[in-house]
Amino acid sequence: MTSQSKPVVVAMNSDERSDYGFARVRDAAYDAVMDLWGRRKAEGMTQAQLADALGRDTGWLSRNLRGPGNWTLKTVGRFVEALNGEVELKVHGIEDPLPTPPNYHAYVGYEPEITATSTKATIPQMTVTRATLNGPLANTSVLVP
Amino acid sequence: MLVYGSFSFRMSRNDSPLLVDPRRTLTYMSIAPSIMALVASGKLRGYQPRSRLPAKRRLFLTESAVKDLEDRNSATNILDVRGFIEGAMARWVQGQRVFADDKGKARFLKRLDPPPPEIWEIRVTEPRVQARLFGRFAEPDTLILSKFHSRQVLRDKKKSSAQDSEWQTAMAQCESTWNGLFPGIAPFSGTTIHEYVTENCDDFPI
Repeated sequence: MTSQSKPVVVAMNSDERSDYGFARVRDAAYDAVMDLWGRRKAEGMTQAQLADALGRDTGWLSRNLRGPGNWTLKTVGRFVEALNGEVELKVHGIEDPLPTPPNYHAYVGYEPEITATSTKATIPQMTVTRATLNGPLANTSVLVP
Repeated sequence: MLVYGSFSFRMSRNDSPLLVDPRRTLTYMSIAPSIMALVASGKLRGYQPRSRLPAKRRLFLTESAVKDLEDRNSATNILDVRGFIEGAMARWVQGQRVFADDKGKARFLKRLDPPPPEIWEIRVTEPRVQARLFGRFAEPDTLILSKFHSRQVLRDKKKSSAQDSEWQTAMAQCESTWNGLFPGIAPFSGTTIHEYVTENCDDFPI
């Protein structure tokens, strides 16, 4: 690869995107459940109590809290109820603006195409400069319009 | 389910409270310019998932890792795990929880036993055929992934010295790749996981 050349990003095929979508939903569900479980633990709830509320043994609970697994929607709902929680599910359009404009982007200062100057102008509004669209992340980052 | 907003958000480096002795920051030299130069020359590629959310951590792929990810004939792609690998990388970049299990054992990000030192793996544990993404920390919250490995190829550790050698070879390869990219620069080293991952990280020993 020559200096300053733009890498060609090979996009995921439909099956891979399907797996990716599943992985992201699975991760979001796991993190959300773990957030509430962490809060309940701080409030004094024990693993045995949670297992009891789930109607499962602690072994099953331990396996399922080990990391994002192949939870069914029923399992997610079971956790939410056992933790006395409530589900809030929203699917955003990739083009939707964020409710609060971010003022931090981890790649500023590390990616030639994402500069402090362009960030000031672009990141808060979640718009993309032509430089970013033509940059190495062109096909992987979607910050529009 | 909450998709976002469940963790604190670092506003900017300038807004962050001073966490270290100021004298230390005066002597600190960022590796960022070196990374920027490697990105410009195509030796590294910043990974940013398809998302409306800004990146909260950094992840760079070497040319070899890019090939592992995108080449249809790579060992990891033959196993049809690219979507799950990208899911794991997105978890990292978007600042989602770096989790441990209820016994305090690292499950997502793990520092491997030396030698060589400071080799880390991102563990892709679903589906059944698992992958391991090897790399090193350049700075806190900044991972350089050098190579992806099929868990089956690495096989189980410590069942025999021959099987351990698969891990040793992969770890040595990771160190060699680092030395090629950053000659004379040691990877970031810390004593607790929170020195490597500054936010939204479970507490577990490394």
